[in-house]
Amino acid sequence: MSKRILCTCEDVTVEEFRKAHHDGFTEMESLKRFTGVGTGFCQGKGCLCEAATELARLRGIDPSAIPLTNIRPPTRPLTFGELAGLDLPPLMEELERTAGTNGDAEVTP
Amino acid sequence: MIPLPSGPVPYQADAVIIGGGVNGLAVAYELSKRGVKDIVVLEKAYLGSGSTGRCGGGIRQQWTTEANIRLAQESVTAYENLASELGLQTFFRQGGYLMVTDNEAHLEGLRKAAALQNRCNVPTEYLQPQECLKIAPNLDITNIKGATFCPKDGTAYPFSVVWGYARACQRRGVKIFIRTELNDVKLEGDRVTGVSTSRGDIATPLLINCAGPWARTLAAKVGVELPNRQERHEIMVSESCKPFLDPMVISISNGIYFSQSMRGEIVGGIGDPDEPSWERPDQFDTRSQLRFAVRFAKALIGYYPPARAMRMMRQWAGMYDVTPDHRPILGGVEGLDGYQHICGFSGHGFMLAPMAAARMAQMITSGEPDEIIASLSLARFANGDVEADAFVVG
Repeated sequence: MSKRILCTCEDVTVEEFRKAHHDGFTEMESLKRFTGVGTGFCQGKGCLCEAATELARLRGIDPSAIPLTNIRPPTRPLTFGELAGLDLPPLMEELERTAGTNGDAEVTP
Repeated sequence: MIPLPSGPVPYQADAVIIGGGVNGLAVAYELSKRGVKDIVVLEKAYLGSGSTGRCGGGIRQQWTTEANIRLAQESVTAYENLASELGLQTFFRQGGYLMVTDNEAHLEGLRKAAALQNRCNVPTEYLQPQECLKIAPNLDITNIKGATFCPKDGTAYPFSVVWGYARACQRRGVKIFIRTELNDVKLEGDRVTGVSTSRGDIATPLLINCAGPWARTLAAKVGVELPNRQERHEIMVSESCKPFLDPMVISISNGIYFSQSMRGEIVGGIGDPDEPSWERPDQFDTRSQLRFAVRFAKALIGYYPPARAMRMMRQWAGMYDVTPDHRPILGGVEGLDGYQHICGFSGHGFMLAPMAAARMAQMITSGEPDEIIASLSLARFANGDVEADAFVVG
């Protein structure tokens, strides 16, 4: 069995990722939550594209057809001390809300 | 697990369940256990993509109304056995819930709630601030005026529970369709006869609304108006650390809750009283904002100062489907055959799901009325028979 690592933060191997796909986790959102890919310290910056490429290979489709998981703030981890030191921002208007994508706007792959 | 559908939906079914969250999958499983044959579950995105997968995974019995206490108590028993019943690790851990308050005015309510819970055989204890330190060392008790603790409360990983139910459903022949949307419901006179979906039509005599924050939109398709409001709530997860916090800590004075998962992360959220409810369930905005992260960090350090050195990894948002009395809506509607609700959990659908589903499945298959379901029917709002639960946090 290959020990090639897909996600270095969470120690997920390519083999584990393939097995999860074989077990029916056929979308990035579910693969992320089942294997832990992209949930570590880099928050997917180092592995999500590689994981999507692997998933495209497994499904026999073009990598551009695989939607990545939603990117969540913050861009890099911040301590609670750093966050607590900020002034409280006002509640934003609907269209001005900050980072992150709207999970309900996802399209069917 | 459940792969992407490779073909159309079946043309007929004994029951169609809308929503592949914990409630939809649990009721599908419970119906199939009771002999219902052709069951179809429709999920418009992926399993657990709605409120279930966005929740904090808390399971508590500390409520202020008997119906909620009894449902939660039965659900805790179910969660204790769920991993072996479903054949999947659920990461259920009973570290207890420590409910604290900084407000003297809450103490009487906490004592009364503990007494009611004790009468229902829930082993809740009322604690002085100093006693909290035995349960959560390093807690800052400077502002805490009193607390209650129930050691049998706990947390589980929502996605594992969803996958567990989905696998158990699959083994029993339930057909689960992800990435499949409901377009319309077909009615003939006063009965449901079928649904049309993005993958074809299904004729069915029974439709169960487990659509969470979309339940109101679905109910409108059969001419039923739900009094639910949809509220956006935010939540976050930290980096992983060695185990240091056993209970879920929850404050009824400022609305923060936080616990340590079995993976070592702090998972927690805090309600925002200024957050408006959404008038258009088709236009939810589940993006994140910095305001939440700042409010949460301030409140977390207030109760748990060592957390200031821990890092927040990511934040996200989900929707609560909130009823006027913060209790779920279960059961059918007078004058409409073949339509049932399992919705309106007001932020507590994950913890109440196993027993809400089991009781609903029992009522549907046996035709016998169920006392708790009757007390949680939609009709209670029209009858004015409303007893609000006071402990809604998050």
